[in-house]
Amino acid sequence: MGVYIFYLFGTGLIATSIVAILMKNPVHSVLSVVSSFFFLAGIYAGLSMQFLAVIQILVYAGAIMVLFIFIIMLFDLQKSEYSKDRFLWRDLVPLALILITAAGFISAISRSESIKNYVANAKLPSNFGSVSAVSFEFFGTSNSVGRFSFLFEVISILLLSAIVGAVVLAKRKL
Amino acid sequence: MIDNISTIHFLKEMLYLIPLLILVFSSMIILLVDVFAESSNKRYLAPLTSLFLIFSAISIFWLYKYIPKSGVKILYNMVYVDHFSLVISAMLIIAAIITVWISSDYLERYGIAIGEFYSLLLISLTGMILMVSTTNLFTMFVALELFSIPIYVLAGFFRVYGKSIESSIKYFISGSVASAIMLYGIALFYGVFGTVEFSEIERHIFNHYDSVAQIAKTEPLLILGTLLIMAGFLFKTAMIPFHMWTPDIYEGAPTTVTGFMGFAVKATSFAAFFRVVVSIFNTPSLVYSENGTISPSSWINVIYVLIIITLIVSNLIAMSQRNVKRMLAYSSISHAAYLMIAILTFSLSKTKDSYGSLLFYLLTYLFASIGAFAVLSIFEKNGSNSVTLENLNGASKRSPFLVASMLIFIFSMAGVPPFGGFFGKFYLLKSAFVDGSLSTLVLIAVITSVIGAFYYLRVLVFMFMKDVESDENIETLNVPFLGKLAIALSAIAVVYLGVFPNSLIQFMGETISNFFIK
Repeated sequence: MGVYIFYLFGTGLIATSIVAILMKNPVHSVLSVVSSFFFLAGIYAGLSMQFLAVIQILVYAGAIMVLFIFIIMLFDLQKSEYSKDRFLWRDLVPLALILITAAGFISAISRSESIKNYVANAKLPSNFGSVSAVSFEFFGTSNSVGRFSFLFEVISILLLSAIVGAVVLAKRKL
Repeated sequence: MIDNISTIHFLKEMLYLIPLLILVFSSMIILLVDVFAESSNKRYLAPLTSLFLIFSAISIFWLYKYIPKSGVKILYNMVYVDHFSLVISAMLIIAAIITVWISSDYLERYGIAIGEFYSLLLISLTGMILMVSTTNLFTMFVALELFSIPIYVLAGFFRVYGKSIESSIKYFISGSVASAIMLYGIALFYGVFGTVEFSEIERHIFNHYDSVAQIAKTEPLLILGTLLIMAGFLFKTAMIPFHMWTPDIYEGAPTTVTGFMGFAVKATSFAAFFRVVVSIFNTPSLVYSENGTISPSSWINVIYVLIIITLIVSNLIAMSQRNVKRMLAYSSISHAAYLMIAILTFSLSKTKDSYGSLLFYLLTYLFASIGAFAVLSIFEKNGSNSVTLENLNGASKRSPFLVASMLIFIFSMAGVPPFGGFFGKFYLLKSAFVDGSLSTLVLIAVITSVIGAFYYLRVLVFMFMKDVESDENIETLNVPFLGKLAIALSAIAVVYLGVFPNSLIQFMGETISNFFIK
């Protein structure tokens, strides 16, 4: 059953991603990217990572895509501006490079022994992917500290610097 | 698996991070002070920042005495503080102090003397110090982002100049792509090993694989991950062909930021890459084939070819630059190639002579590069944010002090004895030559450094021999006190390193040999 869910969402993910880069209208592209995020969330859920699936929808499909759509709205592109580009033969070079790289990755993954091992004897803890398991890793319990709590704090400084930077670059008068 | 550590123990372990804590808190204090201070008092922000930096440096000296030679692993092995990381941290803090001293007047001239500059600089420095003091790929990635994002902003700090904004955006986009590539490599490592801790990865490779060929057959993801992580580092260290961003960004960014970026980003990336090489990439089964020779598909060969390309191409392009900042950008690319030679020497030869050369070269590069950019920041014409060779015409009449220090920095970078840069290059190439397998590389490095001397000395030609056409900009330059202090101290340091290199080289060598204490 799980395999079929994976194939369903995986096909949808690949299809919507390809549509996203083929569409001429940027709004159509963005909508296609939004649907690809939902398919990705579905794959996460199928791998019993419920927390990650919810976060994927909340953060990516929610917050980040709103930003994308806002920016495209602000640009207010006319049809003549984005329908001009046509197919060029030199576009084939990056396409070929991407295909070669992808082929290399797929062959590497299919030959990897550690991945075969995972598939053969995958044993997940009972609360894998749940909110409590994730919060234990980040925040620990009442009298111990989580494994990633230090990195969690570091990321808060990272966000602080990003906020300060955004203000510095965007404020009209310093 | 490590046991859970209690909150009290966690806080005790945070004591080892005291240089970082000082930097983080001071960056926030400066943000607050900046909000409440009168605008006439803002010129005290730079001395305040340097005071905090000096506190942090003192705590590093204290830690150096306090920790054992083998270093301490703290916070679930997320952070690893040892003598190597402390030495690099001290260098980074010196770079930051010099940058702050020069920036104070420079920013005022451009009318953007605001506290956010110093705050972002301190946060960036925090990330750099964290990046060199870890043996964990997760921490390394978070630290990489922590030091990169403030630098992206600092590069675009001159918001009214198109070039500055351009450099910020370019750096942001290309840097994010590089980070993403590196993150993919880290993810592959995690997928293969189930851990991101260097020592565990090394043990796993050592126990399970014999040669590169065997890895390529059974675990190709490992080689893919190695290449992707290396690509991330090659981007940050600006080796050709990952160098495209460097000249544009060095040109567009505020000159003092360029000086800081030129040294600090490079030093951090090299130190972190050195750690990765020592701990993971140097495992024999990632380098050698079954019969004991270096495997053709090993990462060593990739680096070897890139060094040769970088040495030749960067020096040739630098010759045709009229903009001094762009020229120094290409020169920094060629310096990256030298530092890569040091890393390659280290992983191929096991003699102790090669140990000190990487750190000593970084130290000489620190003073020469930041000093050169500091001098340029004063020569810069208001409203252009760039310095061409013609701008330097008749400089010796405008400020003999600046020109004399520039002479020292340029001679040091070109590798003229008796300045620090000469001994940096000399020890580095000597230890590479003694090993034997790198003698072709040494030959190319020597030839290209002669080519390099041409464009370095051309700056001096313009400064000393050319006269200004019109009389308008003959007026003497007014060098501010803090700037003068910073430039004078850097010049003295470059001369000192050239005259008395031995004790420092020995000290650096001992720092590296601590890696092998088990």
